[in-house]
Amino acid sequence: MRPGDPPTPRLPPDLALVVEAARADVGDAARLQAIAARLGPQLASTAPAGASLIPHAVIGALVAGGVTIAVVHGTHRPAVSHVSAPVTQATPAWQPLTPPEPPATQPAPAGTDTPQAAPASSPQDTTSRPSASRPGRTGGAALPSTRAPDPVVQEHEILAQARRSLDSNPDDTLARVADHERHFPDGALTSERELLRILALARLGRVPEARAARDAFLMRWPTSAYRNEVERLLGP
Amino acid sequence: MSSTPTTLRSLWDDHAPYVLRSLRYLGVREADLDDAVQETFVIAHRKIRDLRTVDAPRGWLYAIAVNVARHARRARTTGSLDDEDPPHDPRDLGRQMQARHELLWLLDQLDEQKREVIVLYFLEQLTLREISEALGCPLQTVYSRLGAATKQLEEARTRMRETG
Repeated sequence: MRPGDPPTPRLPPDLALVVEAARADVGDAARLQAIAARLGPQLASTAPAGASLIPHAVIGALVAGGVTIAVVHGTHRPAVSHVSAPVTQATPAWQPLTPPEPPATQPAPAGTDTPQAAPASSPQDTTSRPSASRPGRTGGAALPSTRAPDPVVQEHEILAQARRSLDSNPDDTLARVADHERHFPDGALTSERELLRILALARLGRVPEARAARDAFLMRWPTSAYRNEVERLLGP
Repeated sequence: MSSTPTTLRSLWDDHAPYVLRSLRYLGVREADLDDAVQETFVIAHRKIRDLRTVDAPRGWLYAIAVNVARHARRARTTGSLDDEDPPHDPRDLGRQMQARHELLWLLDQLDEQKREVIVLYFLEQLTLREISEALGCPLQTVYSRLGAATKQLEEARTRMRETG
């Protein structure tokens, strides 16, 4: 607010306390890690805003045999696919998300001085989209491709397996983490790998090693989305 | 403009836990939260090229989250009973969980628009300007709505105390 603007409302102390406690209610690291894994290649992209993560956007929506396939060029990876009928192709390495669509009007970036008129088509268009899918919840059509598997997809496959064995067999998780490190020492999903390492070591009771891994993680990714949880994971 | 380009990764690293939190308090069911977070970032990914100003992507990202939450809430009203949240884990009965349940109950007493300004202002601590941009409404409207929502929240809290 600017000087001269009326004061903003305040909560009474008891309500403020409730809100303050709820503010500490941030997602747990494992949950966020799982969602990050589902986002996979998109999250790993390094394309900045303004440069477009989909350089040539969707240039083809091929319809064949009841399968609608959206092909994204320029990223050397299939972006998403959407199926309307059962298919027999191999499933993609990560769960297909929602199909790309033309850009819509956006809310103005924060920081401007003038309040903006309602962006009528700002992200409200989600109502017309299929929801983000959870692995195993919806079907997904493979994108037939003759190209070599995307390295990020390969990374994701290894870490997804590592994640799956975390509860039942943390030793296996560690082995897969080592495998990932061997093949992708500085891969796009390195922070996810190191988070899995911490969690697996902790579950195995290898606390000093887990703490060392945690400290290295926090030093390397000080602004990580997992920071709060990682910090709390093993105590000081 | 920041010298660091905004990528989906940086948005995730900076905001993911808070997006999850805001979606929860905006009324997305626990069972749908993961999908809602994913959807928020999928849309952000799709639209990130429209994010020209990288200094304050927060309001932009919350705009997406708000609309994902609206969609999820509306889907819930037409959903089946077996979509309800599972019983809460008794191990969760800490102060934070009590606060979560209490605040969720209070927010449930508000209409959608009031709920959004309360969550974005008091919980997520966006500025009024960021909220006006996230909700796509004039600043004065946000201010008025926030005042009415705060009053209604207090009334709900009073009712909750009276009924034990």
